[in-house]
Amino acid sequence: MVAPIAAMRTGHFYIDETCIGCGACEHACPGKVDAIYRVEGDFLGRFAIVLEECIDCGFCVPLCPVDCIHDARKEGIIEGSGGYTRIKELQAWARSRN
Amino acid sequence: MAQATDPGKVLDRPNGNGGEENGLARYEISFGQADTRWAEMLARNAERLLKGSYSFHWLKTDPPNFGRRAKPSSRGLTYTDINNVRPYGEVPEHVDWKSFAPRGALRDPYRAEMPIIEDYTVLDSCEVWADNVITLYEEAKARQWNATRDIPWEELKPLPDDLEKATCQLCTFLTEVEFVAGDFPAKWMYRIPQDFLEVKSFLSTQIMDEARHQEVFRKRAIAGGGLMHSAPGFEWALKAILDAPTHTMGTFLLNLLGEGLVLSIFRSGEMIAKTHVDKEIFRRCMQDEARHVSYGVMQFKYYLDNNHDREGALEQLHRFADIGERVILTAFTEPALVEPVAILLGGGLDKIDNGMEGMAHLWRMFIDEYLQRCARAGFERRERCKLPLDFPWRQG
Repeated sequence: MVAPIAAMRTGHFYIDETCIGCGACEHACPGKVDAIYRVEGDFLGRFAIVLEECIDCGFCVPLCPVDCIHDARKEGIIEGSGGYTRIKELQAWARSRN
Repeated sequence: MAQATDPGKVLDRPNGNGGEENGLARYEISFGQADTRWAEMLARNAERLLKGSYSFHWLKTDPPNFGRRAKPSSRGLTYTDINNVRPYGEVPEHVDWKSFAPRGALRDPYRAEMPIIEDYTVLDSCEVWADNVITLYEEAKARQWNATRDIPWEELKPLPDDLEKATCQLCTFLTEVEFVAGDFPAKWMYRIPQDFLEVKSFLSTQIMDEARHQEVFRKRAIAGGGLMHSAPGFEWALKAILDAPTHTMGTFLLNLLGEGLVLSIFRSGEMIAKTHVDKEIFRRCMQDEARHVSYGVMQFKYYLDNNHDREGALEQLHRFADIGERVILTAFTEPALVEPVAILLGGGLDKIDNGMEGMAHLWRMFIDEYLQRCARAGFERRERCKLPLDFPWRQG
C-alpha cells in the first residue's frame, strides 16, 4: 500500500510572527492539501502551516502582503522582522505598567 | 500606460431637485430617439415569435469553449478552479469589452450590435488586479460575520465615565472613517468592466465589510452612551481618499495607508479595548481590515510591476503620496483621535500623560508597518515620507 504524501515527508514552509491574518495564503493552498489554518485563540488572527500536511508547492508565498512565509531550506528558521514586529514594543510597555 | 479617468467627471451626478425630470427627458431621448438599435432587435424577435420560428443559434458552440467542465476542489468550486478551465481564466491586460458580456462567453459575433458602456473607464489590469485577489475573495466569504448577533452585546457593562467617553469617541472616529472605505471601492467598482470580475467580486466584499464596521462601531458608541465628536481633520483625509485621481492612487491612500493605520489600532486592540466585548469587536474588524490592506499592497505592487514606465509611475506616485500622507496625518493628529486613544492606553484621564508614552509606541508601529507595506510593493518611501517617524509630542 502506498502511504499518503503527507505521511511520507514533511514540508518546509512556515509563517513567521509578522503575519497580519489576511488569509490570502489559506486559499492558495491546494484544496486537497489544506495545510494552512488560522491559529485558534490568537488575538492577531495569524495563520500557521501544518508541516506534516504541506507539500512544499510554495503557491502561498507570492500572495503574502508582508512576506512572512519562508522556505526553511533556503532561509533557515528566522524570526519576523520589520514594522510588524513593533507591536512587541507596545505590548512590552503595556506589560511594564501592570 | 493609460490612466483611468476620474469617475466624477464622466457621469452627471444624480440631482434630487428637479433632476428627475431632466434625467427622464435625457433617458427618453437616449433610448427613444438617439439610439434605437434595441427596437430593431425587438422587432426581429417579435417577428420570429409570431412566425413560430426557432433560432437555436445559441446551441452552436464554435469556438468550442463549451464542454470543458470545471472540477471542484475539496473546498468547493472556487474562482481558481473555474479559471483553470481555458479560456475562462485568461484575464486581459487591456479590456476592449465595455459591456456586461461575460469573459469567456461567445460575444464577438454580437459586438457590432451591443451598446457600449462608456462609464467603464478602468481598462488596464494593472490598475485593479492583485495576485491575491481571488484567494482574498474566498477568505472574505468564509469570514463574514454579523454585527447584530456575533458580538455579545448583552455582556457590555458600563465603564468609568472617562474610559467610556474615550471608547465612544474612538468609535465615533471609526464610524466616520469606515464608510469611505466602502464609498471608495463603490465609486470605482462601477468603472471596472466585467472582464475583471474577480476584482469586482472582492470589492463587493470590502463594501460589505465596511458597512458592518460602520454598523458595529455606531452600535458600540450608542450602547455605551452615544456618538461623540466628528472632526474636520478626519473629513479632509477622507475627501483626499475619495477624490484620488486614479484607482491605484486611491487604493494606495485608502488600503495601504489609511486602512493600514486603522489596522494598527485594531492590532493594538488588546491594549486599547477595555472590555471583552470591545476586544471581540476589534478582533473581528481586524481580520476584515487585514484583507483590505493585503489587497492594497498587492494591487500597488501589481501596478508597479506591470507598468511599462515604472520610473514615471513611481515619480507620479511619490508626488501623490507627498500630499496624501500630509492630509492623512491631519486625521491622525486630531485630538479627537489621539487623546481618547492615549486615555485608553493609559487607563484613565488622569493617566493620559502615561498613555501618551504608549501612543509613541503605537505611532512607531503605524509608521514602520506603513513603510514596510510600501517596501513590499516596491515603493521605497522611507527617505521621502512626510509622516514623522516618531510621535510628534512634547510633554507640556
